[in-house]
Amino acid sequence: MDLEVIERLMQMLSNSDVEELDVTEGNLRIRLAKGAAAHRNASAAASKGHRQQSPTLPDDPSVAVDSNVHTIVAGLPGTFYRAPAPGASPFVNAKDEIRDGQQIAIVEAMKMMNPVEADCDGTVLEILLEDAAAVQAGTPLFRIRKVAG
Amino acid sequence: MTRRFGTVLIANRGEIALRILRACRELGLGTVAVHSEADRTLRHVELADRSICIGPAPSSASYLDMHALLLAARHSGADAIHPGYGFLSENATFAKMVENAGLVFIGPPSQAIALMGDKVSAKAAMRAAGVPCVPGSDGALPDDPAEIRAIAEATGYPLIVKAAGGGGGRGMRVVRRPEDLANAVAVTREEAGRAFGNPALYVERFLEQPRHVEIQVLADAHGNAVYLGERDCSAQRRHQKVVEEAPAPGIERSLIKTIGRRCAEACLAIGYRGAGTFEFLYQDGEFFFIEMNTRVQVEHPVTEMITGIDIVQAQLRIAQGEPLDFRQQDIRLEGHAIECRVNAEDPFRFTPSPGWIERFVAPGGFGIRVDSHLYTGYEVPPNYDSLIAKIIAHGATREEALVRMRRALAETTIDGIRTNIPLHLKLLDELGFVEGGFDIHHLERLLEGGPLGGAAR
Repeated sequence: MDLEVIERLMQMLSNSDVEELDVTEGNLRIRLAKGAAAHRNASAAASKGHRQQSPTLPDDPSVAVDSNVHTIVAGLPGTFYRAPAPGASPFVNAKDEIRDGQQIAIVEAMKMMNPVEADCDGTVLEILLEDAAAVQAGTPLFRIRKVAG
Repeated sequence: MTRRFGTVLIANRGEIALRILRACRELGLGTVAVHSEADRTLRHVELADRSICIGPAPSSASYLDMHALLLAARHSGADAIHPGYGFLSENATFAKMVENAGLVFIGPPSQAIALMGDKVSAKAAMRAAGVPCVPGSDGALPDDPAEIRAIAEATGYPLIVKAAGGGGGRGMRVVRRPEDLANAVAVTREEAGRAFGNPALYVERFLEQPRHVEIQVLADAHGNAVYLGERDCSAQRRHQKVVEEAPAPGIERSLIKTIGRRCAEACLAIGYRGAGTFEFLYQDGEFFFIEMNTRVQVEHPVTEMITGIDIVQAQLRIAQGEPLDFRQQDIRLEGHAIECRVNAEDPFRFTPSPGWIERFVAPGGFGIRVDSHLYTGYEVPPNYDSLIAKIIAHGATREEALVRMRRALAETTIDGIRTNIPLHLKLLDELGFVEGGFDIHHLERLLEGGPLGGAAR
């Protein structure tokens, strides 16, 4: 699918009453949204920001072998903090059991403290960064072993 | 201390660093830009006569490192330091260190910063200078019910009973009628003892619908002080100003004149020097002092647009020992100015949105001013404040300024990150905003359930 096709689809969408368009061709999928639908999708994506799963890492044998191990990544660029305040004990340590939705770190961006939450029940296998490390959106933060089932 | 200087070290970043650099250039002063490792690509760093990296990205290791700043000044031959706003601008210790190093701190004397930086001493100094404060008990309430009643009568209703150890909206109770006072005091005292381990209480007049109105002042080292009118900064979210304007809509000019004079006189009383702002809550024709900002403010351009006075240049001249070259009667307010703060954030969810600026096209045209460090290809770092641009519209009337602002925001292109421009556009069309004179809770009410909240869904 080339740019021209996408442009034509955008044209079609904006000239119609349709708010959302989802096209699949082979293994390429394109979704276009406008107006309220676009806002809704943007909000939904943003709210999932800190809880998104990283894409599988084919170079990492542990991931390939064990599908219950997954990585929690930063949702936005900033500074990674393991504890709620300087000198306080960390939210979690390696081997700790965590629950879905539990806060496990902070990413500070633009003077705002953005909580990083677990997106499943499981056990912390590894904390991948030092406290106060700079992160980008998508930087792996934790490796978690999911509770089976 | 004031004296002639030749080179200014700009101890800040972003738009205000560029603003200071421009003022220095126009006065023929040399400039030194100091920056963190994350800020090498800032516009003013490129433009400055010299630039020095003073540390890694975190502010605590760079822009807040007093020794690094003094070392950079010595190394670069700068003989004055402009602190901008935020960071070390209201740090009396830093101002003192600069003074002791034989350099000029472009701001008030360190004693004045210390005096106004402490809420209790600031309020006492303002009372003594005849500046009105929020009436209240000025200290812990006694135990005797008769004494408490007398203090409440003097304070006036409605009033708010607050725990001295409280904060963040906890440990406080609004009392509207004298007959509810005793019970409110007893309950709040009980809660305060349990929650904060401190049963001390105080009372203050409760303002239900205050506006935020502030007075800009300039004072030189020769006993001259003037006020440059007022600004209305009532459009706030979480105590952060979003839109500012001058003059304040619908306030009698005679009231501004009275409070403005008091502020100018207070500057002389406390030995103030440089630019400063007295912040007030305003309700039903009365002003109540909240605090003084002893530095240049983000929203200073709206005052510059209606007075024609360059406030940052004035700071630099005053710090060099020059007397103000105008008097109060020379200051005329022309038209109306509005400023929108453009932040790198989601317009309705307010999540930060740092990143690469794929394309920036600033608005322009008659009556539009843009104070911004942005350029196409700049990357907004995640380490600092989200303010990336200030768009200021000036018109003969408030209506004209509003029309210009809408036009300017609509033609602004900032691609690659999210900004709050869509919020500004909605706000500028909102009925209460168009009318003007709304209180400090207006924007949050709109966001919570009203038309702007709807935009988020």
